[in-house]
Amino acid sequence: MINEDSKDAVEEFLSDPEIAPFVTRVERLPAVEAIWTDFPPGLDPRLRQALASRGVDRLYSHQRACWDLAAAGNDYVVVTPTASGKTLCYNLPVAQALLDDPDARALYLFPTKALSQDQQAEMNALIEAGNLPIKAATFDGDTPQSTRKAARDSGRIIISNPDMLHSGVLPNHAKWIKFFAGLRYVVIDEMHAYRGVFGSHVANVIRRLIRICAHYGAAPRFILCSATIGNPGELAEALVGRPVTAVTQNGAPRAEKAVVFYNPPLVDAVQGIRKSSANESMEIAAKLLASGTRTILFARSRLKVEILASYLNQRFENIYTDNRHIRVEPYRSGLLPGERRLIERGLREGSIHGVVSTNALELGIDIGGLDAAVIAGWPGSLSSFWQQAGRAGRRRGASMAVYVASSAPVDQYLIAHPERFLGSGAENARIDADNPYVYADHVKCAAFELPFREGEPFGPDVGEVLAFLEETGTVRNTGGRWFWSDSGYPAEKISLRSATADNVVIIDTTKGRNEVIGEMDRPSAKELVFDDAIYIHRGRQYIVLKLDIENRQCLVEERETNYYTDAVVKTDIKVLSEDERGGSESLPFVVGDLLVRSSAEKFKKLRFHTNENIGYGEIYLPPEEMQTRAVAVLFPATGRPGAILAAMGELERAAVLSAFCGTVRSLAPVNLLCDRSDLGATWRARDDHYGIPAVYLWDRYPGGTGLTEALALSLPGVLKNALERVASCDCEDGCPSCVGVADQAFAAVRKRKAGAKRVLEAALMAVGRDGALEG
Amino acid sequence: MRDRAAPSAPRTEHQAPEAFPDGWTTIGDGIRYRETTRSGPVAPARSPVELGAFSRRLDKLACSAGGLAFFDLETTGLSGGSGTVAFLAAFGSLRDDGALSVRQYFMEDYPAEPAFIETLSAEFSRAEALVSYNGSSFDMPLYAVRRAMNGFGPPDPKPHADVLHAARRLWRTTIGNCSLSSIEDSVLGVRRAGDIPGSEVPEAWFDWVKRGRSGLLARVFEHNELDVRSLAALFFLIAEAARGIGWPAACDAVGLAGLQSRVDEALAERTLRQAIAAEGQDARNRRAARPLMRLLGRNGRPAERDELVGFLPDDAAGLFAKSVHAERRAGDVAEALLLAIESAKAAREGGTLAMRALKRVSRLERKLAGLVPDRHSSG
Repeated sequence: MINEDSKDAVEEFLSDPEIAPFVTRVERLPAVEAIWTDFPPGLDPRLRQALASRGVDRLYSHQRACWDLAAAGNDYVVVTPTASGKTLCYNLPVAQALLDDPDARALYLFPTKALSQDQQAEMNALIEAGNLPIKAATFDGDTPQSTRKAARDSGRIIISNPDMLHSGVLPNHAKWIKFFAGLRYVVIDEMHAYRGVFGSHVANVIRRLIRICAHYGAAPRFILCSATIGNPGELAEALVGRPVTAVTQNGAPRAEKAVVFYNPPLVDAVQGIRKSSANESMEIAAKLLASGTRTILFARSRLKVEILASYLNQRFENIYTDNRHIRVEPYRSGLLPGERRLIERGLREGSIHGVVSTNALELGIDIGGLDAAVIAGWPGSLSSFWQQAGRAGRRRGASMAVYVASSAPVDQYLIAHPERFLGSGAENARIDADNPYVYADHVKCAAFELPFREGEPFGPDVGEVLAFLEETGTVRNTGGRWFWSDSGYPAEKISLRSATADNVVIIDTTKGRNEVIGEMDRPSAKELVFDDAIYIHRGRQYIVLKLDIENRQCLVEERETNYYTDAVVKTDIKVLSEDERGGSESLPFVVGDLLVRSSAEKFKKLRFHTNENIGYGEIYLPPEEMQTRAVAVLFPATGRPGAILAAMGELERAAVLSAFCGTVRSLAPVNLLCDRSDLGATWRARDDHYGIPAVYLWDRYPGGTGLTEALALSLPGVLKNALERVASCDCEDGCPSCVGVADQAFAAVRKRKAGAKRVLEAALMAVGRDGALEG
Repeated sequence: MRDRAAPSAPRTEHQAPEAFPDGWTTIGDGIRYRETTRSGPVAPARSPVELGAFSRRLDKLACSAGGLAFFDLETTGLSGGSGTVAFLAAFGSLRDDGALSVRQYFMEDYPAEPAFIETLSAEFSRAEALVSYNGSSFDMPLYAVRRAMNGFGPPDPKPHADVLHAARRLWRTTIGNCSLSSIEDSVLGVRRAGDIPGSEVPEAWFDWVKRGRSGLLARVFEHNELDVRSLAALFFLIAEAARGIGWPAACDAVGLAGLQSRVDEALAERTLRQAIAAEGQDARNRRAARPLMRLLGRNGRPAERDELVGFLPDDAAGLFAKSVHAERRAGDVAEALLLAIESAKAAREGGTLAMRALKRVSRLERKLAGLVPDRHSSG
């Protein structure tokens, strides 16, 4: 096993002749010794004893730093890599406070219910070890009605999530008086999950929480924990709306780790096509697993996760080798909670050797340390990358993370510029607590919870929002207060997360069974479990008999097939408003509202392993619609970029625009530091709305998160990177690393890449050579 | 899709307030009051009432009919939460002549809420016991929240009979929807003309506070008053039926026996025996034998209980009991096996009963093959 000879295992992997030629870089992170400190003098003897009985007789320096900050009454955020003893950073000060004062309470917030359960177990272990008179209770959507009252009345620590706080607890604060009045600490774990719109919502929920606490005379302190991001202090302050001290010095030991960059072999040098990163990473995972290395493989989609896990298990089925005991499980959203638990435990205890996962395992779910992490393609952000890489690595024994690049421009860019991983540090997480849409939603919720007093502070502009709400009749201003005056329950209609809350349950009806085997959000269901789709669940294949969107259920039946299905999703758009113009006369852009409609009308049947297309089917489902923010880049014939396009033949113009659009979309995330899945894009040779050629880029969160506004500002930089990429690529006429491989429709077009380059040059010129916008 | 703020709506002109409906007097800052007494006695005020039939928690609790407060709140929403307020309350109580007097309190605007709560508080503390329709889940918790929101402590605990629970037992299987208006219609034979639907009640008040329009209020007042009158009528109807007096329309016998068993088990037994006789031969819908068997078991009458096995329905549990009975009483192992197989088939796959039935099947099979000595196990 890798445990003792782990360093050798890493070296063995790197010197493998099938691997070595394609390793473009190995970055070795050296081992780090622990920094210890003594228990603080004021530590309650019961806590000291509880810790001792769990084998803890001193603290890491950062745990002690947290304690000291708490003792001084400060808010703090602690940045914690995997396995650095994070929970003591908050459990110690909280337990001490609860032991000191029998009326004191604490609130723990986790982004998911699964994490809440993990942490309740962790807290209970400490409580039991010291026989402490503290009760921790989970209060979330799964808490049965019958135990809710007991949790409210006797839970000294309430473990919940922001969604439940928002829609269940705060609107009913009068049932929680004792809790709010005694609230001393609010712990926000996995803080990095609260970014983008979701984070902006959470910041406003915290505003509401602070307001309700103040109403009951309490002023709780905040303790936040984050994985490595560029700006933990800034994000923490944005979330809680006041200064927060950041604890970034980690006193926990770390074993050696190798980060390996792997660029799959070229299969078509002319077109720049490389072996598929999914297959290559599966091969690598198989190799590692076969050599006894416990491995996690991160894939990009739920479908990929299931398919790759099946392939791996099939590979290990060969009864003539020693490998048949190797067990690999898929881990993704949509599994039932019990199944997830089973897999997590199997990984911790070692009965499961490998796991193929989506980013669902990025968060701090406890699966113990694995020996290797294989990352198939850029996961969208540096934080995600390091979180995934961090799944490999324990306190002792070397480990490795293998990044397997795909042919996508972003992957090839990063293989060529590995310093972007290693030098630039993690990216910033951005939220906008004052985002007018999000903020107005929470002013409503706050007004429902407690009438606003005249002049009461709450966020940037409460007076203005209340005046607007009064006009619409939602609040009533009388007697110096603003009262909620609507029969609705506002929190019910406001979802903190972009993903829609209504889930479709997947029911297995094989042989009269009637069993829920999984669930899926509605938009995904339309693309993954339409009628006749093949649904794969932990390696079992099912055929979808009926997707009943109205009743939120999908009936499936077990069936062995030699193919899987993939929906062909079509997207169309409609401009709803033109709010802001920018750019220059020769390359104007418009920021505004856009309606994005996506529908799957057809699906492909693809043979397993070969991915050969063996047939089509029809899908009859209503489209998904979303209103969001977009930037439209326009090409009037009076400007140079537009003139270049105008001089082209119709087909060439389309091919070049598509190349321009694809390149800009691929490289924008590098500048915006967002996930590539955060942006949608399309192009129009003659746009229905503007009547001239146009390229649209939009925010894929309903309503927008400010990404398009940021893109409008950094467009010159994005164009510059795109041009650099196209100019420096030595492929013949476009490859996946620059302007992409031509669609079938454009196969006849020559000099597509050269055309795109000319348009990019002209565009960059039009917005100013060094990035400044022209006039 | 995100719910965007609508473009700013034209500001509604605040019209001069319309006249307030007749019959109301102002009794405090922003609080109005009216009392309505309709002729015709409902029940004698001095007669004692037992509340036990309405809830096991009220076992042996009796008070005089005159000490009951029938109450109902009208609110700005049905979802609860801190932003939902009560703006109208009705309290009904019996006068000495047996007629029901209904006192209603109306809150004119938000700032009057503390005064409103004090008025309600006085009414609640006067009562010996409270009677409501769904008040234990809705009205009382909401009242408690309103008290908390205005800095009052929790309400004084009072015996509280929620008639909805009893009504569900009596009419769920026969009428289905047990809303007060549905029961009123089917059981009391009351049809209200022009009653305001509950969903429009919040808007009636908002129309008054925001725009000074009182048009809908009169209908809400009437609705609120009639709710309390129907509540009182229903309460006495059920209380008497639970004591064997009268048989409410469309009433389910098994449900009625359930209420009766709380106050008079002999009466419940009679009702259930009649129900068994009335159920006839259809073995699917038999519901009366099981509660009667439980009652007899409770009272130490096992022999009489076992005689009723044949009246159990042919569902998984019924078939199981019949199988046990066939083996022990009739000594018919083959029949017992057959019944056990049927029971296993009817039971939910993988459930406890299915497991027990399967175990029983295999034991009976062995017993039938002579492999197991005869023993009266419970299977």
